Amino acid sequence: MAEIVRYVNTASSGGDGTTNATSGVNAAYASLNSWEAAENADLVTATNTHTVICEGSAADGNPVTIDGWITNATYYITIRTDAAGRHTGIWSPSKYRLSMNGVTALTVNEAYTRCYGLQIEDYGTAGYHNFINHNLGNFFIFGYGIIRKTTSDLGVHNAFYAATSGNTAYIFNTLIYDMGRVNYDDSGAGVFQYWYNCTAQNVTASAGAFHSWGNRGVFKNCIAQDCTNGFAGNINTTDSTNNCSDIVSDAPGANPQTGVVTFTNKAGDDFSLSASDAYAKDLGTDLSADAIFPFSDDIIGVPRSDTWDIGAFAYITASGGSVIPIFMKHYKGLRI
Amino acid sequence: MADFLIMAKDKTHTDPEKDARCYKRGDIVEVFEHGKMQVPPIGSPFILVRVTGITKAQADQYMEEDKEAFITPKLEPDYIMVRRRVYNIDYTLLPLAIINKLRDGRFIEISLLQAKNFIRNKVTGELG
Repeated sequence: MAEIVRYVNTASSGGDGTTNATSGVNAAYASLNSWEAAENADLVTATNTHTVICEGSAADGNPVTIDGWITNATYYITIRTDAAGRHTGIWSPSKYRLSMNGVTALTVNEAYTRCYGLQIEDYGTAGYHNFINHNLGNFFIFGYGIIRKTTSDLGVHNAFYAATSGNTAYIFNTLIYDMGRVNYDDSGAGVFQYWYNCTAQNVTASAGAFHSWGNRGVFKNCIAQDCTNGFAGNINTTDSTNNCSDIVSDAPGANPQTGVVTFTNKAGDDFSLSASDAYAKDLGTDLSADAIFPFSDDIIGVPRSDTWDIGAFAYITASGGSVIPIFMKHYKGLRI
Repeated sequence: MADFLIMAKDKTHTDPEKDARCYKRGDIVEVFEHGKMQVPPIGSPFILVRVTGITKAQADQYMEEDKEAFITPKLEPDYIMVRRRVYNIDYTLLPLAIINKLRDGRFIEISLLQAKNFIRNKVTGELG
């Protein structure tokens, strides 16, 4: 078994993808789409996992479809950013991003595809479409992401969409804002979605920001704020827990929180938790030993080492009693 | 001018439906701004066709997916991709001299007028 590692760099003039260089035979692929076209393979027969690392300050503007591979639970695809290409919790126009003009950015038709640290936006006005389709991408995992719409026709877009039965998705530590809906599944049966520690801000569709049909959506530690309808549909309230909404009787499951979360700088799209927050900070449930999808860090990879918070961001309390907002340690070089 | 990144070989899959959704030889994988791409290295699955007389914005149409729209049970519009691309470079129409040049150098520069003799709409069968 081998791990195949390839690189995408939007500054590259296109090579064989074996390094992150921007020129020469071994240069990175110039786009995620060209990586997919070139590397698409039978990972199971080859007994390989395949990882593509995305970098570059220019936008990656062509839609990507993951299809025609052969994968399984052992031999899977990982699409991720590294430190050079990853946001720090706030949308960054200088980090790797899929930036679309009115079309679906990422279609995952392959099972066992994992996406970590991607920024995905749409600036078009083309009307209804989904940002991520994982119709055929069973066991789809998406984490550490930021998804946003930058133009005003918010109400008709889904950040995540699945329409095929037998499809399970795990979305965690992800921030979604200025959008129509966070997610929508449209199958008759079989779509199971697990949403852990996600934050939805200004998600406007009346059908709901976080949505579930048929008792198959499980939400844990998720925040919905300034949404028309935070949590909607037939949610699995037995397994859902510790969610927060600013709408009364909206947060599903056990230990619901109702109130206005205090973000660090909502106007500046910084949705990390403020020291003064009273509705998400220290009110989450520990998912580090979750039976379905355990994890133990936040959207920027900081360990959730003390009492868990609701939402994509962990709030860190420094030893000695003083409190340091999570971004200070990144922006000012502090280390805890 | 625009740089067309073209699939130089067939991708295949054992499942016929998935095989149809694999890139095939001649498919226009991606269009880049003129000068963005270097000539693909030996062993690359791509060739590069630089087309004069067309902007990237105009050329973007050639990356269109072949897809079928449908309405879901919950009355949402959706689609499924049936082939990667509507348009391809039809290798059967390429002059031998161009085929040899692509084989040896993986790059050609042609005018839009020339390109329209080889770019085929796979849905309608029309050239151009």
